[in-house]
Amino acid sequence: MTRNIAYHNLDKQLFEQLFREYFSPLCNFALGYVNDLDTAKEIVQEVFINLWNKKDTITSDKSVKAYLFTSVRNRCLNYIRDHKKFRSYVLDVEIEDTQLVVENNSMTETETQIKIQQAIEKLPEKCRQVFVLSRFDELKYKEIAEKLGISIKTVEVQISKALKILREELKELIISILLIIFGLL
Amino acid sequence: MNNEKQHIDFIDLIGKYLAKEASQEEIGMLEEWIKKDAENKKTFLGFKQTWSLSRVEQIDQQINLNEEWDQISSTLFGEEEVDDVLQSETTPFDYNKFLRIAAIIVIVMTAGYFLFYLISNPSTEQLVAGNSTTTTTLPDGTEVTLNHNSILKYPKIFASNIRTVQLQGDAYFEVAHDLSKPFVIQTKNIQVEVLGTSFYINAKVEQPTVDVFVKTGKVAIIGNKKEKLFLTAGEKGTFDKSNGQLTKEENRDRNFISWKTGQLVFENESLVNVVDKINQTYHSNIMIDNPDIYYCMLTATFEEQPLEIILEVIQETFDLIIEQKNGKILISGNGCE
Repeated sequence: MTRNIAYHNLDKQLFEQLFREYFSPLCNFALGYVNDLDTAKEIVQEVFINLWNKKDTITSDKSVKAYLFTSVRNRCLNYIRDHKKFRSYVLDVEIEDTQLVVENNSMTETETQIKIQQAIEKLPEKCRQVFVLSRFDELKYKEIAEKLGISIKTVEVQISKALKILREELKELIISILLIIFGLL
Repeated sequence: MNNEKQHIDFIDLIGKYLAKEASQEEIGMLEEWIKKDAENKKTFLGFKQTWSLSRVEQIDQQINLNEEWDQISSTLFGEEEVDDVLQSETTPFDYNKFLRIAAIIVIVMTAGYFLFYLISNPSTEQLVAGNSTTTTTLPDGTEVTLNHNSILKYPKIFASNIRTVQLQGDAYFEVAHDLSKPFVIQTKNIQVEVLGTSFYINAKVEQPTVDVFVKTGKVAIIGNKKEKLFLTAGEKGTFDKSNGQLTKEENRDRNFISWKTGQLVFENESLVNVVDKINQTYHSNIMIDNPDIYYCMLTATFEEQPLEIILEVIQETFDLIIEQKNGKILISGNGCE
């Protein structure tokens, strides 16, 4: 419905629909680059403003969704470069010098969320506990270790275990939402 | 082997990096590792995306979409709305228009208040039936009997114009008559709206359908496209979860509320159906061991009899063998005439 519309056909109603569907996922995507939610929201707002203002001149064969994700990523990269908000230039900026391909998968954003939530719920008890404390409560490894009475090494191992399981569980999402192409792959 | 070990260590490192726990030295190691091989780069990006995706829901909760939309629409479309205001200032005051707008504001505010009231209302009661049936009387006098593993949520005080409750599982309702306040039962798939009547609703999640059996009075089922299906006494309405269709038919199941009344009436019913019904009513685990006796036809009426008595009657009638085995009751025998 909102998936393959021509840019110049974008009216106010469709625009609002796009905004409501993609604002949160895009903010979350931006948070993969920038650290705070306010910056992420600002960047996503700018991208939407830009989309509306330039809708008659955008000549892209990409879907609107792909345009949105790519624009958010580019703006984020500019932001962290300009504000020197990177921990590692190589890992945060340089590595992103790849073509980003956003595929239109059939899942709605709600279905995507449910899938992610289920994947996290499926993690083994201890593993989930550690992951949630780190990812959602943003506790330091040391704080998690103290809280749960385990070693910092165990926290480290549990986090990477969670990441491995989640990457496997969310494989299709990672591939279908954000497919990063290396050379011929 | 050694290689694999190395690989695993780097994934720990990626985790540390993403969780902002990596030291400068570790970041340096990770940079080297990524530059070494495109495959490593891909691995890193895959985990980075996983890390990012995992928080989608949490972020969603922190974002107020309406606020964000207001902000962008005032930036982009604000001028148009300002224009409207300017225009109306230059035209004479339109009393009718003012009234219309005032009325809309009142309606929106009232609706907003009700929504707020419904969402924030902390005085909700919850009735849970675990391994037994539970009967309760709601504030309006309606009597509800919940079957095993069912939950009913209802407000301590009903709103002034509607009585709304939420049901998970199955329950029998005898709704107190009140023409001015419809009684609405919300389930995951459908709504049932009544004025005053008695009926049984089976909205167990594991079932492919939601069934409503009306005993007395009239009931409306509202499907997910807001279409209404009216049912009267003796009818059964069915909502098919797979296609959203609502249908009705005459209710031929005389035992639809046996789980509540304890009354079972069988008229030339096959043993396989009889056992099924007994299991539903008594939450027992009776199994027929021999297919030859599936179609022994039983005619009998039981009034709140203990399970043992019912089993005895079946055993005597068809000359069967009934035995208990690890929590199950097995029926076997040679078949009947």
